[in-house]
Amino acid sequence: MELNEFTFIDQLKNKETQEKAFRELISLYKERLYWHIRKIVIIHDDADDVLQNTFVKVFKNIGNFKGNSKLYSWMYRIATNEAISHLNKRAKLNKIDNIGLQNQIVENLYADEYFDGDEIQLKLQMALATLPQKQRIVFNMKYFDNMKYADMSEILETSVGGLKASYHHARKKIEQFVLNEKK
Amino acid sequence: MKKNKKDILNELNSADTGFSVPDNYFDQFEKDLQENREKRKPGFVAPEEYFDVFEEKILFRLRTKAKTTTGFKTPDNYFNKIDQRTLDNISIEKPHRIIKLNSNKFLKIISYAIAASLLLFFSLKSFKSGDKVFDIETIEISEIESWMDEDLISFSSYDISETFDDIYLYGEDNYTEDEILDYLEGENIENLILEN
Repeated sequence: MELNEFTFIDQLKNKETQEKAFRELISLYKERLYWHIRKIVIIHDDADDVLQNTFVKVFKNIGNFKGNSKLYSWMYRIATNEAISHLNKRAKLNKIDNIGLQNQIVENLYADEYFDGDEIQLKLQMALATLPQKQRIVFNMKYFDNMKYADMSEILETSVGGLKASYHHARKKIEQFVLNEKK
Repeated sequence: MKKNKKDILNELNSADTGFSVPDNYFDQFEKDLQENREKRKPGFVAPEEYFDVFEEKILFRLRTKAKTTTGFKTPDNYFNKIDQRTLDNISIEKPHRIIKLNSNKFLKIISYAIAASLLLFFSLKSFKSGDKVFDIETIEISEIESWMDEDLISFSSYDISETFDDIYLYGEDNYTEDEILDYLEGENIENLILEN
């Protein structure tokens, strides 16, 4: 993919080849992006909305894609921003802040038919819900996806040092949350 | 015999480092890594066949969106001109003054209103009793406060707006959007939302 990235982007921009290339692009990234989004928005239906919006945005803006970053980073960035704005809209609608919204969503995970995690996984989600949005996203990308800091830096447009600090703080807070729960 | 530099390097290269690893470390490594990755799963699942039909769903959405234009058109520059045309059609009204209930000006107005009402109240009382004269200076503030506390005298927003007809009070819905925005700029919106 990387070797042919320029050719592939040209195909995505060319009206003649666009549909075939776009189908291939969706096929390549739909699952990766879905799980990335799902970990941010938590509810499947929300993840589906955000994923669709992400691909629609990619399709509409591919003409303006300059190739300054990798296609994959660009798409992850769109997906992350879409997921964040989706949560912000929901929080605004419910007149609560983001952490309040996150807590509300996680409280309903027990009854979610698309969550089959055990007690520990649920507790981890509860701990994650107490983190600021950015720390939560950084933790998800590092802990669950084991993504390289350099890639995360390109996606989140944050320095590697900043990301490491965010991850460190997130881990500390989660550990503290779990310790307090045990008491 | 003295060893030369090359011999020393060769000797170091072939020497054992002295480090060792636990038994079966490398056999176990891959397994542990895999298990560790397995543990790090958030527990979310996607509906069955969700990914199988996703491409079609997106492409359908893009195709149908492209076809859902209504076919309606507007005259050239319609949207560029509409702002000015609308402004030309509405008469520019003098903006109403909005006063805050806790502003100094409002408190001043209230005190005038109280004074005026008290004057009227005691004039009538004096007229009726005939033998004792009251004026505003002879009344203790505490007495006025206790009358207000006991609801013996009260002032509604109507009393005030009738007396001062160039001032609009809260509760009237005839503010322009700009006036409301100007007012809200000085307020903490989150507090207003929480209060309402």
